[in-house]
Amino acid sequence: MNISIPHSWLKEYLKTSAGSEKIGELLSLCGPSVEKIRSVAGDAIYDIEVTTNRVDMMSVLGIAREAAAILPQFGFKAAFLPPKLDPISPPQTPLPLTVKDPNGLCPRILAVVLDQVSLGPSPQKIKSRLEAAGLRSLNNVVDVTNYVMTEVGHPTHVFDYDRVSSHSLLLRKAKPGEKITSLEDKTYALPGGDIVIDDGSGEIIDLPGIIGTANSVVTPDTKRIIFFLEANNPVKIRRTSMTLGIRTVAATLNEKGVDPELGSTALKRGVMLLKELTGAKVASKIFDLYPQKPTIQTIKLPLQLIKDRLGVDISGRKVKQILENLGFFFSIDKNEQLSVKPASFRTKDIAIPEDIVEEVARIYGYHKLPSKLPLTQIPTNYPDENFHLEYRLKNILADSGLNEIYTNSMVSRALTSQSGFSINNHLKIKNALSADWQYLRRSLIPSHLEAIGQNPQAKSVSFFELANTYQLRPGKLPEEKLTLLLSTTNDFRYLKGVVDLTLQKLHLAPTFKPQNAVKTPWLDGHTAAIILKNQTLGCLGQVLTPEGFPHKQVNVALFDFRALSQASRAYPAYQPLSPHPPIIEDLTFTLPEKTYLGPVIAAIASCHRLVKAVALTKTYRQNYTFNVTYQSPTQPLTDKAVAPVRKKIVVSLKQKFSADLVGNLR
Amino acid sequence: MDAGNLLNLKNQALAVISEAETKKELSELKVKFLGRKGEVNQLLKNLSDLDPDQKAQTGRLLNEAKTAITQALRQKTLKLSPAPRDWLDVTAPGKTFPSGHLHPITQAIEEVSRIFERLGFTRVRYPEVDWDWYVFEALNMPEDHPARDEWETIFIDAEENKKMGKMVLTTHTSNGQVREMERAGKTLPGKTPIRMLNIGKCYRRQQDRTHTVMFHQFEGLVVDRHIGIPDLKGTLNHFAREFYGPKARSRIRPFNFRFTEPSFEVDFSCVHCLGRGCRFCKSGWHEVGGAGLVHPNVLKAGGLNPKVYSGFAFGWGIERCYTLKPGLNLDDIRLLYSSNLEFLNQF
Repeated sequence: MNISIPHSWLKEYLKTSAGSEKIGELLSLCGPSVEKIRSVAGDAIYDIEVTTNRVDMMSVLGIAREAAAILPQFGFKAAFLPPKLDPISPPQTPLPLTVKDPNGLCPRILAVVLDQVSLGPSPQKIKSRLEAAGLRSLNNVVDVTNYVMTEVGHPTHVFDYDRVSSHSLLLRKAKPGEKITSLEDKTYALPGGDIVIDDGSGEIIDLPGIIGTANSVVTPDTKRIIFFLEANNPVKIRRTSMTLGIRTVAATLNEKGVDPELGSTALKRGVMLLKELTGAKVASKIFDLYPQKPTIQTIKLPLQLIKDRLGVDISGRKVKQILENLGFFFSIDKNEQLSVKPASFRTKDIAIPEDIVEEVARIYGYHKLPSKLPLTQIPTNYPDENFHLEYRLKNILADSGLNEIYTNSMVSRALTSQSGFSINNHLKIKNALSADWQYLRRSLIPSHLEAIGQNPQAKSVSFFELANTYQLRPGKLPEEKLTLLLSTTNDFRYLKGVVDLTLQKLHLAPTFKPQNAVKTPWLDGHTAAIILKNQTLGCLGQVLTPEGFPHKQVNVALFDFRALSQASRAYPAYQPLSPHPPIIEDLTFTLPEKTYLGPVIAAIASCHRLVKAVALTKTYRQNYTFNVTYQSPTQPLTDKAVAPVRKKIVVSLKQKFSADLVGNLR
Repeated sequence: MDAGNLLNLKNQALAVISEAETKKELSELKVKFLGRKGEVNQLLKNLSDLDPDQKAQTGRLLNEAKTAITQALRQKTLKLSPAPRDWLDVTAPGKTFPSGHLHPITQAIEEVSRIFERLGFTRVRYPEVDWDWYVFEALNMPEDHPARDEWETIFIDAEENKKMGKMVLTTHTSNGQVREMERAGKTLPGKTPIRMLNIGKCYRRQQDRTHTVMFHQFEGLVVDRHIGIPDLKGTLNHFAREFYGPKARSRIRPFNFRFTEPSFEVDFSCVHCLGRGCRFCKSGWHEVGGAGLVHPNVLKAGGLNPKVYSGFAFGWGIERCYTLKPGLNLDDIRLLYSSNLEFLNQF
């Protein structure tokens, strides 16, 4: 939570020789982070981020106390000046008021009636301070409640005494659906179990700790008031405030657990200010329902723990000085065991020895602690992942001319429909930020179609991405499948070339099996499964593009990364280099229409052990020229030795594919 | 024939070659010395007259002479060759090759991984969709705790698990902390040294110039006996120097996270002004993210005894760290996820 505090206000409770710039810098190093110092009408305004565990610092007094502990560490004189509070003396004939909390819903309740209130604007000093703190000035009575809250850190409230005609305040739990109208004239139905104040007749007259209700707050006619403070159950405050969406400053403080001990300071300070600003007089006794003071736990820890965590041989005396400056009680025995009792306002965040370590370390100064690399054993229990291969693969693809993209795992309903998986097979997001991000994707393909579509002017677009897809598993976390997708507006052969090259670099030689009856978005007859030893590594083919797509076609190659990773090899099986020169020749065959070339090439290659390599070099109509390399590791080849091999190829191709050799066998 | 003759022949040959003035002269010299009936071969003929010992030695010298003469001839030929006459435009663009690009996030992840790998950190991968237990509860953040507000959590519409709670998209890579402790407990029982680097996608309900609903974090976790603040500071300084340059420094300031105690905010010194303060950084420092010593409750949740073990953890956005690189000048991280070719081609 961020708070704004004027320097002049801070100085009422902090005596120091340090200037505002220095205070800001040093607070940031050892305490709350001063994000900015603004200058308004000659006053410096600190904009301070206070972490949620330090509700005690969300006030002028809290910051003053913290600064007083920090500044001396840097050689600045500093002292916390506690507020000077006048005692409250009740009148001889008090006005009637009853305050009841029969079920002990609030740890502490304080109330007092004041009369002869003269409502009006606040003095300029109060107005500008509230404004600097980000609060609106309304009238002197309401301003006092906000002023006290900002200064002391305890929210306060004011009722119109006469509008609460029963003069009775009863704390109770709300029934589900009970309605309130806030002082901002908004009506809410309560979820139930919320702590409310009832005037005794069943009517709710306040939502304590969160917001006042229209039926009991001060009006321009107010003459008599009840100044009211209560400490709350933080969990209940948070629940009600979050459910109703009422996020007042009071609620954000109360949900963090304001120290009930602060109540009397806030009450006395409020009464002083009400007297001063509105001329009010105390008209009742002081109600202080405080059944049980919270007990403060003493934390025990060895000095050695602090030395260990700080890496510094700090003395017990130094620790004592630091902790006492923070308002903690401290003792140390002869075995260097510490007993530390935090101040009442720190009981919420100081509970374990590590909390004491933190207090000592930060005030001592993190910048003064040594810096070293961990000297512990290096673990070698590596997980079953191949990040190196991921990076290598990405490099191969980028070097082949593809651009890597990162598209969102969350997709729109429209994109799910292009995935080929039913919408019910997708994980749905409960609180989507936008309709574009409503489901977790099952496929990367729709995301790439979208990405390609967003580059309409490019002559050709080729992308790749390595990302998870999310497969629903009832009652379990989804299966996160690491998927590699290559996508391109170039033709199938281009992509096949990239795939061939990539697989070669992984020392894989899979087969491509034509697929028919594929599901969307794949196109029938334009798709091949990529298969290695009966295992499908992925799929390659043309996909359907949506209506009005700016490019003619999109071909994609999809890989199951884990399968690819497991199959891939870091090195080949080396083939001995032959000292004998190869014989290389072209053989041209006429193939029947729609003959798949993959099996033809494979047939030539596996025809005879002397066939070392086969490559397709030329195609003309139904004529296909294959460049065949023959080589023997043991002897120089002669045409005589090659002739029977050649013949075998021709016979085999004739048998298997009805292929005819163009020309005659030599 | 003796060695002296041979040496004479060699020296004589080298001398005349160096004095030759035309290529024609050189080819004549080549024939004279190395030709079939050349002087070297003449000497070779006499070789058979020698006794075996001498034969071997002279043979070797002869070969050396032959090599030296060949070398001299080649060099002189090159020297006498005229420079190519045809004009070559050495400024014309080269042949175009396909050129794709690794995404900047991949580049940053690789760099971060390498930096920590050298310190013995093991990179891991944990779920992006995880149970509330790992994302919050085990990290000392009970349900309804105000600290959870800061995470802008995205929930999955799925049945709640009785033990593990709701299904959420990971708001931070810290879900890897307890998961890694569990893994270490299984793979290295009783020892449990942990140096984890968890890099992954995270999700929060936020989208503006400096936030994207999907982003990347990297999480470091070190657990062992006697780990303290100095170990964290050393690791942070190492990263700062490696990632931003030798002059970069890090600092830690107090903060509050439920899963670390003490908790820190981590700043790196501004690379433009080296910490003096300038228009890029205002204060001389850039805030990058959180860190701290692992909270005893988190160690317990991971099955470790906090009386024996301690540790530190940090978790920062890849995007945030990357955009602070000097001279990159990328001020809208949404572009990273735009698939815009004009943008991608720059990396």
